[in-house]
Amino acid sequence: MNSFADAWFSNEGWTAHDFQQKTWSAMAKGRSGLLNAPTGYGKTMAIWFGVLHHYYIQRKVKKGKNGRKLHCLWITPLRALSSEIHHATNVVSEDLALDYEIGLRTGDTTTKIRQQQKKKPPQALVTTPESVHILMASKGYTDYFSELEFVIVDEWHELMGSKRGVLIELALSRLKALNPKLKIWGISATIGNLDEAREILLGPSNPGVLIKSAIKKRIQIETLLPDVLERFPWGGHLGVHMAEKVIPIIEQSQSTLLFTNTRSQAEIWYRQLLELMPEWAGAIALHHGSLSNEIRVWVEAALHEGNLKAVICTSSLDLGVDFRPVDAVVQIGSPKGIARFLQRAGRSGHQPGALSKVYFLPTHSLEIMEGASLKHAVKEGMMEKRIPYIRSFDVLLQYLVTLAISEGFKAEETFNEVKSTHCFSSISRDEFNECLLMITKGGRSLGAYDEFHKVVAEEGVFKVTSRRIAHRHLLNIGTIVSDSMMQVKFMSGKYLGTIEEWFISRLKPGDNFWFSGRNLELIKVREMQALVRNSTGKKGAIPSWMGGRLPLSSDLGVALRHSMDMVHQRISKKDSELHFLKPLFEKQKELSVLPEGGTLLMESIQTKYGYHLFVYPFDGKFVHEGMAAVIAYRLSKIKAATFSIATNEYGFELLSDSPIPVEEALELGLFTTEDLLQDIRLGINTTEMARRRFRDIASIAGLVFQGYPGKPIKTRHLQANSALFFSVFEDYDPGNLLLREAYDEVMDFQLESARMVEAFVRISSHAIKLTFPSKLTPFSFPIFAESFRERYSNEDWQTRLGKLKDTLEFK
Amino acid sequence: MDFYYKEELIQFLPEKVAFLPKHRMLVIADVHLGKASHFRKEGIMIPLPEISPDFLRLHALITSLEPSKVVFLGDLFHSSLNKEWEDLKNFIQLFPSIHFVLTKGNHDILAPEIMQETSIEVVAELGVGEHLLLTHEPTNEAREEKLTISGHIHPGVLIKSKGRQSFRLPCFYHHKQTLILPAFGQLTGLHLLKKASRAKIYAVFPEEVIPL
Repeated sequence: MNSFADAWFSNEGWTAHDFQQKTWSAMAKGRSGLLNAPTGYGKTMAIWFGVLHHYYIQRKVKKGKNGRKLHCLWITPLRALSSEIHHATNVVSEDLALDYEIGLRTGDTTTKIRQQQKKKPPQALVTTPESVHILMASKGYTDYFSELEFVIVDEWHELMGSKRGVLIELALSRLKALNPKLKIWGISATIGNLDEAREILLGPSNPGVLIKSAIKKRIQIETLLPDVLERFPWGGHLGVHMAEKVIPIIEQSQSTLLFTNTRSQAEIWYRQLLELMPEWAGAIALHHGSLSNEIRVWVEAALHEGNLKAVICTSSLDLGVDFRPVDAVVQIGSPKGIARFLQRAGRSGHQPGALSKVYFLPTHSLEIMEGASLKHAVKEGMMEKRIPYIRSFDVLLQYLVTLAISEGFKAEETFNEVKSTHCFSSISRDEFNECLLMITKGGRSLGAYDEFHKVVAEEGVFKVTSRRIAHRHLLNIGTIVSDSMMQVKFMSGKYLGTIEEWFISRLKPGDNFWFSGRNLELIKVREMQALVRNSTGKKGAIPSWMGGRLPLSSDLGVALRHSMDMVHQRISKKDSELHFLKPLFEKQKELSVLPEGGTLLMESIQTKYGYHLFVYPFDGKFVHEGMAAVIAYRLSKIKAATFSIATNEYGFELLSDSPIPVEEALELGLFTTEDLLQDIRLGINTTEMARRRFRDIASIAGLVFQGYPGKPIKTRHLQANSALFFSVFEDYDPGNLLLREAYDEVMDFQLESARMVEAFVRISSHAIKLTFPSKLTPFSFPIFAESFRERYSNEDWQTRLGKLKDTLEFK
Repeated sequence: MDFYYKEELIQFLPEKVAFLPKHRMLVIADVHLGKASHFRKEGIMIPLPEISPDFLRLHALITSLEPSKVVFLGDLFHSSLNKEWEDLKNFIQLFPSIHFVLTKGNHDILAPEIMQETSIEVVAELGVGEHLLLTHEPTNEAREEKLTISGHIHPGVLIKSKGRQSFRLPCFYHHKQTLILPAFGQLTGLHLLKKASRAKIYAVFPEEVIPL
């Protein structure tokens, strides 16, 4: 079937899997498709031999034609994965003595090699989405890609749920126009919407095939239970009190990966483990996104070689590369989603047929229940969907300027290409024209700004003529947006990693903090660098990185509600988690009732802090935040009041200084779906949320120039605060597409309004169980505890300012 | 908000300016006109009306306060000559009876002969009455018990309130013999100040100025 694969597989003494055969045959027929198979079973080779086969068949036909052109583009989300693919495919070329060359092009590739790749392209290029756009920003790209036959998108499930997925959609729309016969193949882990994933990648007009491997990875989940059950749990522990429980696991295993949800938690755990086991210094390591590339590469290499007993990491090690020595995985705290949990579990037992062993370490008692929910979800094969971005005008603006830099574009042609993508399938000609106005005239509403010349139209071709603008745009492609980051360096110049500016700004020289597993003393801050030295102190602040807050996925929410139902049945000893939690449930029953399926529990409690209303929809923190704001808004329509809101993954709390008219509100339909969208808009301060969202949008669209990661900008006078832009847009161009995008993203991703509406629909069919406990219950206590850390009112910005003023004046 | 230095009354207005009623003098810091054009030249779009809204705010202030003198504490222009310069010339001509003064700042790089096209008088600093000295940049050395009124810093204050809410507000900052005014221009950022001991901060809210 595939002579190259046959030769290579028999050399290695392997037999091809069914899914590999299917893929080769589909590729030989010239089809596109999406391949879904677990890691460690030869996904790469399933695709790669299809590519090779096609190349050599075609070369026979085309014999005699000179001049080598790029044949295959392999796109991955991670540099580390790119190098891995580059290596693996090169091995094949060497083993079979093929003249098929594979180049690697990422942010790390030197200019010299890039130029060589340009002049004499290899047959295949392994690269990232951003690098593809940079290639499209260079003159002659249409020629460069003119004979491109394959685009392979690796880890498509990961890219699809981000704006980088939009980058790929746009790039593909262009490449397909250059070669209508282009074949596109995606590789994806299992997600809840594989068919949609295929359709988005290939485009609606290209049916393609979906190849699923029948291989099921065996997975064993064990929840680590604490010695004593706390009946009034308090969220926000980092689980370090359980550190002793993981020591035997690390000892018994060859290499263990410990996943935490935040970087600060990883730092804390690293320190804690070393405190318990000082002799492990050097045998355990830390890996997260803020550490320098050098450190991460070192850790990855040491893992490969089996030189590390354990690595404490964040999502930085979720993806891609296989570490064969790893035979145990510990998830610290809730993984928040089934897919993430499985992906992490899959990091152990990478050898085909091996068992993936994963330990779940709950950080507080209620989280123990998630262990049961995860087991249930895995057994039932539940899996989250990835929600693709749509109408990301910021990415479109960036793309248009990219095309304008290299060979220019024509409006009609590009409009049709862009409209063929899933992301922009609903774009109207007016909206497209508005985008054109933004890059040619600096906006639509206010007529011509004669000094604005970012992109100019010459005879119907849109072009960038200024070299300076072109250069800056190139730097801006693929800006990964984050808070202002500072480099952490030793006086000697050794680079340790990056840290958020606001954290450093709170420290004074001489203060200590923990970073990269070391206790460091801040010497001074110079421009965007924090200069430090090692300190022997034991105490120090731990940096916390923003963006570590993940919402509970809706599917895990479903599984969680299922576990809640199970509690009402006889709990057998086999259900270790629920069995362990029994005393907590008894206490809950004694003080109130236990939540159960088909009903919604609400608790109205009075304490010295005021009147609390607790509600338990089990829908995840983000949805609860939105719901709480809507419920607060509806309650305040009955009786004017201010509420403070607190949420966790299980429920939310409204706290008021006067009695809350719950019963009356329930009669009037507190959870009705009528006017829901309107109440969401009126009840939630979306302006503030949109302002924060706008920061990323402004930077992707090129309004805010951030400079290159690691290379702080010199043009500080151009660095305008995105909040400033936001106010100017709100005041003078309220209909602007980018501004609307910010609000849409708030609704879709931050408030997850679709999920919120779903939750309201579900609840409206539920029986409401309202209880009046005399004191806080095991379920309400953790939410109550949250409220100390996170308390905000539901009033709008102006009145909040007014209120703040009142308290100031009161002094 | 009324602020006294010796017998001099200085009013802090929520429009981010100071008014000296005794001298009928309006004091304005850091307008940074032309910043929008500057951005646009660099290919960064900013949807401000062609006539900068700063002119409108300035116009409203002058009409309601009727000063006889308007002092710009430096950084009137953000950068080199551009369209806003013409707008400014036209604006100044609307008020022939008002004496405009600019205490020169680091961003004011226009050549003297160009400045002479307007009736704006350019000085390094300006003494007012016995106790006040107006300059662009704050100075550390106290001069003869005088209060230095300056701009340049774009002072702002971070107010934290319950439940992780925080607000960044522009402010007037008074420390010993230095008074720093907030920046007037719409396209100016804030520099958050750390409060020195015994310094006083007056935060600018939408409707009024309040001491913290």
